[in-house]
Formats: sequence, structure tokens, C-alpha cells
Amino acid sequence: MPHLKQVRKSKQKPMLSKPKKQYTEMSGYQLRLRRAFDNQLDRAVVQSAKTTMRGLARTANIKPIDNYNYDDRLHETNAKNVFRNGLLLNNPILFNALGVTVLIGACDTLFKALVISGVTLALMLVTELLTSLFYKDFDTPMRMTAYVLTAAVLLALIAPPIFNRYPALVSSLGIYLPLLCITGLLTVRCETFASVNTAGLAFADAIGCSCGFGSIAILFGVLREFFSANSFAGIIIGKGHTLPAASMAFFAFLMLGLLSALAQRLRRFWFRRRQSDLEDAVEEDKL
Amino acid sequence: MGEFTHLVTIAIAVIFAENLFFSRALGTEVVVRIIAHPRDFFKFSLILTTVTVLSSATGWMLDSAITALGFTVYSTYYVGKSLAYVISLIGMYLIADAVLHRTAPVFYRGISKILPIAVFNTAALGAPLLLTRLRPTLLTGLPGSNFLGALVFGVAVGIGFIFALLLMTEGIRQIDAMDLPDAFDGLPARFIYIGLLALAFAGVAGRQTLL
Repeated sequence: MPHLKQVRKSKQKPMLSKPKKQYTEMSGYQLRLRRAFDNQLDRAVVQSAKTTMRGLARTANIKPIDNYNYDDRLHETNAKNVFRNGLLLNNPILFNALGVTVLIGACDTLFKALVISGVTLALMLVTELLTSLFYKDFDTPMRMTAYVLTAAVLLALIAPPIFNRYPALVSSLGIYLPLLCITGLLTVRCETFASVNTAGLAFADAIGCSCGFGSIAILFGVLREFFSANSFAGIIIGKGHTLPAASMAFFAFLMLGLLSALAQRLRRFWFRRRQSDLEDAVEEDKL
Repeated sequence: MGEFTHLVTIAIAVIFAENLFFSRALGTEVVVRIIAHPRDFFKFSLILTTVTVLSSATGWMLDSAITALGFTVYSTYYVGKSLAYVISLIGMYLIADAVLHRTAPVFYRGISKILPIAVFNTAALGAPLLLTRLRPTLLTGLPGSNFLGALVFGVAVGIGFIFALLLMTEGIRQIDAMDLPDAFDGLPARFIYIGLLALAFAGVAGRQTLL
């Protein structure tokens, strides 16, 4: 295995050799245009190669070239890792864009976010458990049907008591509460994880993903409520300038982008630190 | 003439001024996924438009039936309606799957992976839910135009989705080719791009929305 520094050095080599001879025969404008084109092309090729390598590595379960973001222990399938991945390292919203519609449409106050999080937890728990126990043997169309139908029936049982207790709150959720039973968070997790794993792992995944979704939803609810009405949980806490547009979709998209970038940065930092710890441990073993 | 103008207004509102993707984030998860497979755009858009038209028409009929049956308690009406729409979507999916599998196996092989994504998504269920929620204000007062309005609404949702997809494809292709900071590489940049487009649409429509 090549040394880490050697790998990083070899990565710095340009992937396309630029035709330098042609540059000398060009005018200033043509030269600038050609260089700009070559730079764009280089970037596109590098990006495409990066994406392909990551995809191949993920599919074949081999070690990627940029091994700072790889740790064998994270890929052990146990309940702790599955829960942690759902909650933080592979958060369904921040890294996979699952459940974004409901998050952006409905979670603009704390109470709405709490209702959405609670219902999501119940739906995911039951559906993933049933998938890992019974639905995994069905063929694809029947399996997809089973996820959605289970969630819809469960929602039909859960929603009336909540409505009877908090009618205004459930009414304000509008079309987004029923959308929970068809959201990608449920169907994708059931199809990609619960249908190929045991009930225990499916349970851990349901809890982890629901908590990951719920934490982001509550954060969104608190921030958007504060920005749009200067309030927290319906109580006015300030008299400053309000930003009513915070309850609109564009604000949520922008906030989600920034939060996702922050999470991506933290995750890479965490992986790098973890990798350097591992390397130190290996060095100590050698000594 | 008044009826035609009303239908055109609904269509323009749903496609451009208040595109459901940008104003209500319906179908965001699907767009983020399908944008990585430009070859499937046409097939996906065609299936999704068909689904939204059928689900809107079915939704309108189911809503009329549920109302006629006398479900006046809001929670029962609300929950029963949602369940009925989901069951109608499931029926559509199973029928399409069975029919295409037997009658056009080559075509089915091409769409078998995108068919569940195109049917079970928030845009497909959101269209009938939104339509029946808006029905008392949007589609009344025009004799005989309600069902037609539902069909126009379904078509407009599908076309609006295609419009959003086209708008995003080129931008995201450019973003993917750019040398972005590590933190913004991938999904964060896409979200911010969608957010800026949504801001532009919100600027056109304003806060007082028709839908």
C-alpha cells in the first residue's frame, strides 16, 4: 500500500496535459479563451473521475484513494454504528436529501416540527420493523406498495387523536402531514436498509434516522420561528426586526444548504481526525 | 370565455408564478435524485405528468364521493381522504406495472427502475391533496368546469415539474464542474442553487399567493 503522502502527491498531478505549443500561436484573447476552456474541462474531468472512483469504491466496498474519509470500523454493521450513521454521519436530510419536502414545507415553528418528528418516528419504526420481518421476501412492486400502505394506514390511526387534541396545529400542517407516508425518508430507508437487514438493525436505523430527521426539523422550527416572528414556542421573546420571509420555501432551502455545508465540513474534519488517530495507533503498534 | 381564462390562469400560476417545486418544495427529493441521471429525464417527466393528471382527476372524484357520503368531521374527512389518495396511487402503480410488464416488456425494462420513484413521491400525492384543499376557493363558481379544472391542474403540475427540472439541470451541471470548497461540494451547493431559484420565483409571485 503506498504511503499517504505519496498518494496525496500523485493526486496533485494534472489529469489532462495542456497543448502548450498551440498557445504560442494564438492571440491574447484566443489564449485567454482557450485557457479558460481548458480549466473548465480539467475541472469537469477531475470531478467526474472523483465521482466515479467514489461510486466504484462504494459499490465494491473497497478502500477509496482519498483514504482520510474511510474508516473500517464505521462500516461494521452493528446497531451502534447504524444509529450513529442515521443520527449524524449519514443524516438523511443533510447528506441524502430525504424528507426535505416535509422539512421545508411544514417545519416553520417548533410545535409543528415536534408533531412532524413524532409522527415520523412512529411511521419509520413500524414500517422498517415490518419490512425487515415480513416484506423483505416480496417482489419489488409489492414491497413498495407495502411500505406506503403500511405508513398510510398507520397515519390514519395516529392522526385523529392528535387532531382531536391539537386541531389548529394539525390543520396548519396542511398537506404535509399526509405526505409523510410517501416521503423518500420512509421508502428509501425501507428499500435500501430494512429490506436487507435484521429486525434489530432496522429498529436501530429507524430510531437513528428519525432522531436525525427530528433534530434537524426542530432546529429548523426554532430558527424559522425566531426569524419570522421573534418568538420561541409561541412566546414572544424579543421586539427586534422580524423577517417574515423566513417561513417561505426559499429561506429554508438556503438555510438547509448552509447547514448541510457545515455538516459536511464537520464530517470531513471528524473523518480526518479519526484517520490520523488510526495512523498514530498503527505507528505505535509498529514501534 | 371566462371559464377558459380561469383555466389558463390556473395553469400559468401552477407552472410559472407559483411553481409547486419552488414554492412548496413538492418533489424535491425526486429532483435531487433524478438530476444525476439526465438520460431518464424524458421518460420520468412523461410518467410523472401522467401520474399527476390521473391522481388529480381521481382525487377530485374521491373528494366528491367522500363529501357526498357525509363525512363532515374534519379529522375523519382529512385522514380518509389521504388514505384514499394513497390507495389510488398504489392502484395506479400496480396496474401500470402489471400491464406494461405483459404488453410492453422492452419498454417496461427501461422504466422499471424509475416507475416507483415517479409514482411514490410527494409531487404525485401533493397534487390531489392541494387540489382538493384549494377546491372551495379555486375551482368553484364555474359551472361544469370543476373536473376540467382538476385535469388542467394535474397537467400544469407535471409541466411545472418539467420546467423546474430543465431550469435546474444546466445550473447543476455547471455547479458540478466548478472547483467549489470541500464543504459546499455536492448537495449543499445544489440546495443553495435551488434556494436562489426559489427566491427568484418568490420575488415574482410575492407573499400573497394564489394557491
